[in-house]
Amino acid sequence: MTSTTSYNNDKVVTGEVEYPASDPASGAFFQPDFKKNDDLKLMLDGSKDSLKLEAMKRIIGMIAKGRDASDLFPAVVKNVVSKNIEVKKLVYVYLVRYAEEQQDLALLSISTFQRALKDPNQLIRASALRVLSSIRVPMIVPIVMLAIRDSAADMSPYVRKTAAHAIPKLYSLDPEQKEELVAIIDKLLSDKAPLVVGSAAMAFSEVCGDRMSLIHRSYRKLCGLLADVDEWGQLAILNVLTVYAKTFFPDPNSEEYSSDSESEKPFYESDSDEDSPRKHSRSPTVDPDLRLLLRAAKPLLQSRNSGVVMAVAQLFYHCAPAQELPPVAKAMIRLLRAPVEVQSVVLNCIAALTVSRRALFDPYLKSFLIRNSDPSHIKLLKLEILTNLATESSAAGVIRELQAHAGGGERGVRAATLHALGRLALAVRPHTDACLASLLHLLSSKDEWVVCEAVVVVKRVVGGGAASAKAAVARAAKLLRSDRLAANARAAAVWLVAEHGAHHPRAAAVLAHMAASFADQEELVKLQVLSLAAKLWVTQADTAPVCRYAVALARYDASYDVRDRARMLRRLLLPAPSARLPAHAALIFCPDKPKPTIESSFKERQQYTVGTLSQYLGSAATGYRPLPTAPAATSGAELRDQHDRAPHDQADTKQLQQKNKEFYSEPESSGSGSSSGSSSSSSSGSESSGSEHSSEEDESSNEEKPSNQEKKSVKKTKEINDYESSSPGTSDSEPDSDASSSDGEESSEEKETEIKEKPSEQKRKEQSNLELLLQLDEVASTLPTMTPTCGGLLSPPAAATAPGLADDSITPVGPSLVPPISTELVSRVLSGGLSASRRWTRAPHLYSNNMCTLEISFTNCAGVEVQNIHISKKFLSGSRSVHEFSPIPSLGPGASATVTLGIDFADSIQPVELAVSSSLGEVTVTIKPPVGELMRAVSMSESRWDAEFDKLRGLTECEREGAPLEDDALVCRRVFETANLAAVGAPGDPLRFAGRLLSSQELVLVAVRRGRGGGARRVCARCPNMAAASILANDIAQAFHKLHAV
Amino acid sequence: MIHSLFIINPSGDVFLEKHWRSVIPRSVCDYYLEAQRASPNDVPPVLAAPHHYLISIHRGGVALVAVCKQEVAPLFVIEFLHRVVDTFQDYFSDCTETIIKENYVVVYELLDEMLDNGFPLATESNILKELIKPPNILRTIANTVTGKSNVSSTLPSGQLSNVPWRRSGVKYANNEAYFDVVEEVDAIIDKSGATVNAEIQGYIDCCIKLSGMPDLTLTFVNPRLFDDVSFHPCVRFKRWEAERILSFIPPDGNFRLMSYHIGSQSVVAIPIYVRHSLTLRSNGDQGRLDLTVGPKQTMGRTLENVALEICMPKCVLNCCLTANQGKYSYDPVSKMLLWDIGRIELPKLPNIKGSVSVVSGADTTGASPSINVHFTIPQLAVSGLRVSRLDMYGAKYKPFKGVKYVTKAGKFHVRM
Repeated sequence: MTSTTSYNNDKVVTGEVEYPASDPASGAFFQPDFKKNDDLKLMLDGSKDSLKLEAMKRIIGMIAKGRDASDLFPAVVKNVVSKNIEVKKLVYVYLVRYAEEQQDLALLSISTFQRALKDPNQLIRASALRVLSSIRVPMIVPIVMLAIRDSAADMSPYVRKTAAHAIPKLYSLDPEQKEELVAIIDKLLSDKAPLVVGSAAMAFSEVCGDRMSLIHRSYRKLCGLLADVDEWGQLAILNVLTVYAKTFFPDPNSEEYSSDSESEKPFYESDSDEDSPRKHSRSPTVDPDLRLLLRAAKPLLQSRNSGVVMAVAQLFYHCAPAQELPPVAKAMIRLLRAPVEVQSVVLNCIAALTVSRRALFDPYLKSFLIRNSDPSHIKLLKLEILTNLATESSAAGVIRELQAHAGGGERGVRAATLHALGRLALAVRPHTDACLASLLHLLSSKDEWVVCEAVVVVKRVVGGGAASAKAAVARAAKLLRSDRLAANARAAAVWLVAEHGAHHPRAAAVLAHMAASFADQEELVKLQVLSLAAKLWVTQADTAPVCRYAVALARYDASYDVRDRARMLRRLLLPAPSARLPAHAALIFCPDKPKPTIESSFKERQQYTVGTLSQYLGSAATGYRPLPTAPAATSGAELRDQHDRAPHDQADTKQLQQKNKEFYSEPESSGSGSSSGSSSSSSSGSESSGSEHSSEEDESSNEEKPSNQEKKSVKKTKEINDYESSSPGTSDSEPDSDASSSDGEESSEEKETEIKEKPSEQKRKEQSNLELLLQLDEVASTLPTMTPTCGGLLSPPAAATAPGLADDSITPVGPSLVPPISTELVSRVLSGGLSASRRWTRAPHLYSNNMCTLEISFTNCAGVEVQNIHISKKFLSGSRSVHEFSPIPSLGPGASATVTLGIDFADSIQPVELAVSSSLGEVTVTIKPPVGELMRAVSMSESRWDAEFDKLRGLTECEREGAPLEDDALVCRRVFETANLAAVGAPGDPLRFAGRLLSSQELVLVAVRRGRGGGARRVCARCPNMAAASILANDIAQAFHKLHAV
Repeated sequence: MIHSLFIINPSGDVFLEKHWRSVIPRSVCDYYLEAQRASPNDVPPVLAAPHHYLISIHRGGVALVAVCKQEVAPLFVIEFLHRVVDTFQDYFSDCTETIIKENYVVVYELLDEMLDNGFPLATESNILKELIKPPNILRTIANTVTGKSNVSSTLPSGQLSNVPWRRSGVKYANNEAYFDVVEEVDAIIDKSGATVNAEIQGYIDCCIKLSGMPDLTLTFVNPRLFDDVSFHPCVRFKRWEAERILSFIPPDGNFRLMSYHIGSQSVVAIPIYVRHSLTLRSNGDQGRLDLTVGPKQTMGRTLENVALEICMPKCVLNCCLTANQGKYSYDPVSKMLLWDIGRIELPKLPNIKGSVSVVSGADTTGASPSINVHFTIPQLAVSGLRVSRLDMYGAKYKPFKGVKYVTKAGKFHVRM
C-alpha cells in the first residue's frame, strides 16, 4: 500500500506540471526577444550557481530599466528552489514583478513558499510570506489567507510584522476577505511587540480605518508603546490615534464640555465623595486617556523624522488644548532647516495654520524672512505667512521686507509681493497708507507687468475706502492716458476711476479718451467703461453727451454681453414717459458699498487635516477621510478600562518580558495605576444603565473579585485553547511558552468582548472562538486526567461549552472506527527474539495534542528474560518530536507488554526512525504513518462543512476516481478504515467527512460523490496542506478498489 | 503609501524603476518632467496627476519620484526618499546616476528590503548592512572564490531587540568615539549692515567605533543654550528632560546624534562683515563694484575658506574686477559672480573692485542682489557650546575620545 501511495503521488505531481507546461505557446509571441535572451535561459538552466546569479543580475537590470523580461518567466521561476540565497532573493524580486502577468506559471512556485512558511529560520518564514502575499494571483487567495492567519500567531515578532504588512496586500487583491482580515488586524493590534504594532496600525488604516471601536482595547497600550516603536510605525500609530481621539474625546477647547462634564457622565456620579476632589484637581477639560496620549506623543516632537513631528503637530492641533500648542510651533520651525522639500510642506502647513492661529507663530516671524536663494515656491509660501503674521507692531518690518522683494526676482514672486502688500494694507489699518504709498510708487514702475499687478491690487485696496483714493484716481487716470496697460489692469483702472472718481474732474476726460478707442478695447474694459459712463451720467450732468455716445457705441458691439449691458443702462438712465427708474438712478449706481476683505488663499485649506496631502494640494485627495467632529462627551472609557485590566492583572509576568521598556515606561505604569481605580467604579456605575456593555461589565467585575488564582481557573478554557493555537507544532516546553500563553489569554478576551461590540459580526466571531475552544473539548472528553503541561490550567468540562453556540461549531469527536489490525514492527528474527507490533489507536496522546498515539506490544519470544526495553535513539527532522514510552524494566519469556508512544509527525508522511534497544541489542524501527492517521475526526454542522469546503477550492483540492460502490454504509466504513475522519450530516450525495490535521490543525474535508449513472465513486479531498489532500484522496480511492474486488 | 519609485537623471531619463504594488507605467513621470521643464530648480515636491500623486525629491543630481495613489502624509514619503538617498550614500559613498547604475542589483535589493508593499520595513543602516553587505572589492573577490553572497540568510538580531539601530557583535581593535560639533550661522544682513535675522543651527555628528554594547553619556558645560533639539532615536529622552545629558547606546559607525537650534531670540555673534558698494549707473553703460571683507567677533580665531557668491541682476553683462586676494570668476549665463578668498590674514583685508558692464538702457531700479557668504572657523562653536565629558558604561575597555568644534556659514546673506 505504501508503494502505491508514492506511485500515485508522483503521478499527481506530473499531472500538475502538465497544466502550465502547455503555456510556452504564449512565449512564442515574443519571438524576437526569445532569441536575444537565449543565453540568459541557458545560464539559468545550468547547474552553476554563479552563472545563475549572473543571469539573474542581468534580468534585474532589465527590470530596473523598465524593459520587458516576462518571456524568461519559465526559466526564472524554476530557480525559486535555489539554495543560493542571493539567487533566491532575486528570483523573488522577479516573481513579484511578473506574477500577475503569468499567473499559471507563478502557481508553480507556490508550494515552495508554503514549505518555507514552516522553516525554522524566521527570516525565511517572513520573506516567504512577503513574496507569497505580493504575488497578485487571485487563485491563491485562500492560501495567502491561511498563511497570514498562521503567521499572525507566529513566535517571531518579525514574522508577525510581515503578516501585518501582508494584510493590505491581500485586501487589495480580494476585498471580500475583509472581515477575516479585520479579525487578524484586531489580534495584531493587541500585540506586545513594538515591532508589530506599527505595522498593524498601518494595516488598520489601510483596510478598516473607520472601525475605531477596534482600537479601544489597545488604546492605552499603543500610547505606552509609542516611544519604542520605529519612526514609521510611530507615524502610522499617531495618525490612527488622532482619528481615535477625535472620535471619542470631546474637544478640550470647547466651552460646553468643560462646564457640562460633571453632569454628562454617570462615570463621575458614581464616585464616592472622597474620591471626587481628586478628580476635580485633575485638569477637568482633558480626558485622562487623552492626556495619556498627549503625554506619550509630546517627546516625539524631538524626533529626527519630520513626518513624525508633523504627525504630532496634527494630533496636538486637532485634539489638544490650545495652550499646549507653542512647543509644537517651535518644533515646526526647526523643520524649516530641513531639505527644501520638507520646508515646502511645513511652510504650507504653517501658512494654513497662521490663518486662524496667528499668535502661535508670532514669535518666529523672523524665521520666515525671504532669502534670495529660496526657490520661488518657498518664497511664495513665506510671503503668505509673513502677511498672515503681520500685526500692528510687526507690520512696519514686514512691509520693509516686502518692498525689498517687490522690485526684483521672478514675476510670480513680485506679483505675490504686491498682493501681500495689498492684503497688509487692508488687514493692518494703521499701515494702510504706507502700503498704498509703496503700491502707488510701483504704479509708475517701468516694468509694465509690475504696473498691471499694482493697479489690480490698488483697486482692491482703494475699494476699501482709503482716504488716499483721490491720489490713486489721479494716477490711474494718468496711466490710462498713456495706454500702456494690459487689459485686466486697464479694466481695473477704469473701475477705480468710476468707483472713486465720479466727482473727479478728470473722470470725464478719461471717459472721452476711452470712448475714442472703444471699438479696440477688450470686452472686460468695455463693460467697465459702460459703468463709468453710467456713473458719470448720474453725478456729472454735463457729461451726458459723452456718456450717451459711449452707450450708443456699445449698442452695436459684437459682444452680446456688452449690448445687453448697454440696453439695460439705457432703460435705467434715459428719461422715458412711464419710467420711474431714472429717479432712483443715483441710488442704483452709486450706493455705499461694504469694504472688501482680501482673504488668504490658504483659508480654505484649514478644512483639511494638518499635514495631509489634501491640505498641501488644497483639494481632497483620493482616499482622504476628514477627521470626525468631536463628540460632546467622552465615550468608550469603559471599553478602554476593561481591556486594560487583563494585562494589569498579569503585570508581574509581563514585567519580565517587557524589560526592554526601560526608556519611557513611567507614564504607562502610573497611568494604569490610576485608571484601574476609575475603571472599577465605572463598571459599577454603568450597571444601572442596562446597556449592552453593562452585562459584560458585570461579568468582568465579578471576575475581578476573586483572587488571581481563582480567576485564572475561571478563564481556563480560553487560556488553553489559545495557548495551543498560538503555538502550533510546539509540543515540548520552550522558553517562550509563557509569552504565548499570556498573549493567548488576551486574544481570547478580545474575542469575547468583540462579540458584544459588534453584533453584526457575532456569528463569524463565534466560529473562530469555537475553533479555539474545540481542542479543549477534545482533551476533556477523551482524557481522564491532565498532563502536567496543561493540567494546572484546566477546568471541569462543563465550563468549556457555551450552550448557545453548539450548533455552528467544529467539535472533535472520537474516532468512528478504530482499526483492530496491528502490524508487525520488529520481527523476532531481526531482534533475536523480541517481536513488536504496532497499532494506531486514533486517540489523542496524553503528552501533546499534536501527537499520534501508537500502541506497541512487545512480545518476548526468546528463551530468556529481556531487560530494559527503551528507545535509545531518535532520528527526527524539522519540528517533529517523539514522546517515548516509559522503559519496560523486564519482560519474561513468552510474556508481552503494551506501551504507547506519542509521535508528532508534523503532518508529513515522512517516516520516523527510532532505535529500540534492550538487553538483546538494538533494533532500528521505521514508522511510516498512513496519512489517514495524521488527522483527528471532528464533527460540524452540514452548512458549516459546506462553507469550509467552499473556502478550500483551487490548489488545495484533489479529486480521484474510486470503484463504483453501491452501499453508502460500505463507503463510510472504507473511509473510516482509511482515515480518522467523522461523517458529517445525513447520508446522501455527497457523503461528507471531516477531520483536522494533528499538528497544524488544518481542516481535512472529504466528499464522496456518486458517479454519473452508477459509475465510479468520486473522492474529493480538500485540505490547506496540498500533499495531505492528494495522498488522502488516493488512499481512499485505493481502499474502494481493494475492497470492491474482495 | 508608496506605489512605485522612479529615479530620473537631469536629462529627464527614467533610469531605474521599482514597483511595490501593481505596475504603474513610467509615462506617469511626464507630469514631473513637465513641471521640471517649466521651472528647472523650482519643482514643487508634490504634484497631482489625474490618478496619481507624485512626490519627489532632488538630491545629488538625480530626482527620486515616488508615486502614490491615495492620501498619504507628504512628509512621510519625502522623509523616506531622503532616507533612501542616505542609505545609498552610506553604501556607495555617493548617490549619483553612474553609481546607481553600477550597483543596480544592490540598489534593487536595498529598495526591496526597505519598503514592503509601500510601507517601510527596515530603514536603519545598521540592520540593512547586516542583511545586505555593502559592496567592496575585497568582498567581491572573496565571494567569487567562496561562492558566498552579499545577502545574509539570518535575521539581524538588532531587528528584534530594543536597540534596532545597533549591530550585534561589533568588535574593534582600536575603540574610538569622535564627536563633531558643527554650527551653522544663518543670517540676513541688510543694506546698512544691520542684522535682520541671525540663528544658529547646530549638529553633533558622531563616528563611533566601539566594541560590544557601550552605553554612553555625553554632558555639556552649558546645556541651557539649546533652544530646540531633535535626537537620533537612540537618545533617552527622559534623561535629557530631567538632567540635560545625552544618554544613549550608539549605532555603529557614522550618524547624527542630535541637531539643535538656537533661535533668533538669543543674540548670535556675526563673525564676518562685508562692506559693499554696487552702482550700476555711474557713467553710461558702466557700473562699479567694490567689496571688502573683514572679520568681526571671531573670538580670536581666523576665518577660513571664505567665499562670496553674488547673483547679479539680469542687466549685468560682464565684470572686470581686480582682487587683492583670491580668485574671482563670473559666469555671464547664470550671472553668478564667485570670489574665492580663502583665509583672511590680518591686518590685510581682502578687497575686490572694478567695473561692471550693463546692458544699455536697462532698468536697474529695484535690482538688489544679495551676497551669499561662505566661511569656516575651526575650533570654535560660535554659540559657546562645550562638551564637558563623555562617560562610558557597559564595556570594560578604555576608548579614545575626541571632540571637534567647527563653525560654518549656513544661509548667510548680505543684501546689497
